[in-house]
Amino acid sequence: MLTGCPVGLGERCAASDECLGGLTCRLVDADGPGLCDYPLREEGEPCTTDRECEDSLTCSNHFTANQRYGSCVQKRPAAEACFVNRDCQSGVCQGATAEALGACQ
Amino acid sequence: MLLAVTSLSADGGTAPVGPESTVTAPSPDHGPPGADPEPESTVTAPSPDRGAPGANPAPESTVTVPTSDRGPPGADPDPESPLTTVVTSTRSERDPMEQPRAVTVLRAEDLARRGARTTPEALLESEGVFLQRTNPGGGAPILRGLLGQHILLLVDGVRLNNATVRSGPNQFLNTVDPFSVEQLEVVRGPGSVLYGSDALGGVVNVRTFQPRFHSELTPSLLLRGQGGTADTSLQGHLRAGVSLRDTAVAAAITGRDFNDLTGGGQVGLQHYTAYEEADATVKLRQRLGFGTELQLQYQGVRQSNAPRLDRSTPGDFRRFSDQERDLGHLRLVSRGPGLFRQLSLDLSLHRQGDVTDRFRISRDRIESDTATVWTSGLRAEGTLPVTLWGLGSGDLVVGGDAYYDRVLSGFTRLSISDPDTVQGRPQDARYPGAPTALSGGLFALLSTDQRRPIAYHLGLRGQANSTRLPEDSRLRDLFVSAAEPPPVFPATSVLTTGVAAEAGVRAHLAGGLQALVNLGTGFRAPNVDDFLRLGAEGPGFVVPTRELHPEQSFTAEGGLRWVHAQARVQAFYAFTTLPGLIGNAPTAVDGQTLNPDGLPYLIHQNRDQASIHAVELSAEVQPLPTLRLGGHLGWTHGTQVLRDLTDPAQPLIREPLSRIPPLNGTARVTYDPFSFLFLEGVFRGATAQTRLSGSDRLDTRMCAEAPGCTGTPAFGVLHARVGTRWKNLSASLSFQNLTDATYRTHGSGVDEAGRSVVLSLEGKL
Repeated sequence: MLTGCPVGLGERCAASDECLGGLTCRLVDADGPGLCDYPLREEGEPCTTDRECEDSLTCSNHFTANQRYGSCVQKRPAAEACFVNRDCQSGVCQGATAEALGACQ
Repeated sequence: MLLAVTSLSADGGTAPVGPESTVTAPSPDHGPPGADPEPESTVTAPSPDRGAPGANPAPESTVTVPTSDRGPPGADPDPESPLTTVVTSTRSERDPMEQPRAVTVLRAEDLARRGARTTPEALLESEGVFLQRTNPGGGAPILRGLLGQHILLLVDGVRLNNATVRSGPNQFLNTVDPFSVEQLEVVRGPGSVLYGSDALGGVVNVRTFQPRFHSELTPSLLLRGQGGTADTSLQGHLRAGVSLRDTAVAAAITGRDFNDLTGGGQVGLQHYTAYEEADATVKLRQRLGFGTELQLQYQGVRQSNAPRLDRSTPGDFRRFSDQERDLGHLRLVSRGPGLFRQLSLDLSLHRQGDVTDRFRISRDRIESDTATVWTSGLRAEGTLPVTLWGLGSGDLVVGGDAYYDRVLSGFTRLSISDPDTVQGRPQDARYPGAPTALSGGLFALLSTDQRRPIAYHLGLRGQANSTRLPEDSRLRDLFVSAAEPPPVFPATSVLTTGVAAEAGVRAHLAGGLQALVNLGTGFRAPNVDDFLRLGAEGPGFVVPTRELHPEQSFTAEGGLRWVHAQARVQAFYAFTTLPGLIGNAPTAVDGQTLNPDGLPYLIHQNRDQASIHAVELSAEVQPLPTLRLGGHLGWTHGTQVLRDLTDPAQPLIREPLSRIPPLNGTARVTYDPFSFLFLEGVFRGATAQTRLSGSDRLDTRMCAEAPGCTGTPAFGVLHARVGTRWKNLSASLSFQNLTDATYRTHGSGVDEAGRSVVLSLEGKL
């Protein structure tokens, strides 16, 4: 940063143009500095965990048994199948276990 | 076909291959090491009967043994390379096919052909070895169902395992520069007699390059480059040496830059997989006269910014920010006509350190966890020629070793928004209070002449271990307000002993067939990590315990080996029982089974019982002079019996052992139309692994974030390779994963490379 060169993963930054290509500057809060990090994945991009996806999305592997690979998809409306709370637009998934899907509230 | 093999003097073509090699006397008139023998010609075989250098060699005795000298049958070896002999299983250089144990051997040429990015990756297609990788900066070999702290890793005979080798996979093998490897030797099965603690599942010994004396005809300059498209990686290696009559010096540097790894079609670019590394090696060999040689070496590794993929998501990610290793190693070897055929003394000082950072952006902090282990090592060893009534001649290897580990660790919390705010938190250190570990052992291994129709080996070791632990109140401090606060562990020294023994017989049957039967035991003393680990590890959050005792293994192994001019076939079956095997077990703290981050609490526990069946099959056939077919298959079945610590009232749990590999194997077709060209096709695959332990089911590396976990799916992947050699230049091109399959090996946290190319170039002067 001091040399004007873009910085890599985990380095401090104030704006995304300070980070190496492919990284974004994730801020601690609206005012503060942040760290260069990978951006969240957009709808349709591959994922293996919902935390890779943008906050409004979840990972489609949740809806298929023993499936590791999925893509970031929209959260589901009420009554549709879900695995974790994040899968639901309401933020509440009921009845899901490690073995079976539940339903969005 | 059988070859006549003549015992020559010690230097007759058997080039030194590592600090563990025997000393070779100056001999300006011998041929280049590794020169390709003509069929039916005389080749050099390691001979326990051979005389000491400088002494008159024993009368040339012609014996008949199966041909099996180096590489696959009919392979055209690199003329610059030494003959393949294996030292790790008996401490005497012997042909791989004349070993009393099950061994796997890889040479530098094999690594180059396979386009191996790292030293662990070189083992991907090796018989009897299954490789687990949490991240591209890691790589843990699994031998006969065991990995991590149950596999002993050596570099040039010096222990990489130290007092902090943790339960589960580790990255230690990837702190050895693959471009410095001259030979990788894997002994499958227990190796505690010769090497002490940790060698339950096997021993992996990485032998790195050696400077050569003027008489040994070796390149004085070597330049190697390698690039791969899956991770847009670039690696470069420069090695230079000075070779005089009695002095040889060589130095090497390696730089490596790996970017994010692209997996198969379904997973695409895998974030949090890039890292960098720089390596340096300096070596000296000096003949001191009277058959004595001094060897000195320094190895340095600096690996940086290797993220932990399975524990990283945007906004909260972990990485091994610095992984460092420095080794200073002095070896004195003497061969002579006295009581001992060879005497050696090894002194080593090893520093292994890591800085593991967790970046928690929403909490405005970086948690930095550091650990450094200083290991001082001493090993003295002598080889006596012995004659046993009725059993012929043999070697008796006797020796002793001692290692002292001092562990330093710390923990700091840094603010992202205020770089000047650094908060030291020694109470959160991984290993508080500078714990130490001291071990000392004495061993003896007798092995009779392996060329006789029936050969025997018999070994014994006794070892004492002392681990000094500080007072530990961390768990109490974390749960001070609990209804039943956890105890404060007092400062103590834990004294344990380990005993290992091995015995075996190997019989040459008719038609090149050998039968082997081995019995062996291994042991491992609980280490500093077992007692003190507090924090995230593997699939959970580990809490410390003092209720551990040493592990012991008992292995019975039977094998058949058939060696023919056009074929080699090996089959081994091993049964291992491990009373007291240490592993992670779910537990409850303050009535909770999950910590605030949702990670299950785990504790190290001696299993009540564990047992493993392992079958290893391999074959190499050469139906035509230009065509070679090969393959191997490995199957493992492991079971453990443990207590349910979350509900002690429950009966004992009998379940699969953790991280047991599925049925897996490799098939290879190699076509050598000309001496300067090879073409190769490789299939590697594994069946699904559905046998999971309770701990495995909590691990996202084996159970995806989806319902109905049934384990790791099967995979099959195809690679194609082409390589050429012209004078001192060689090139190989590896087309990886032709079908762009999306797959990971069982237990891994990262998917293997998708369809991609690796190009390796090498030049020598």
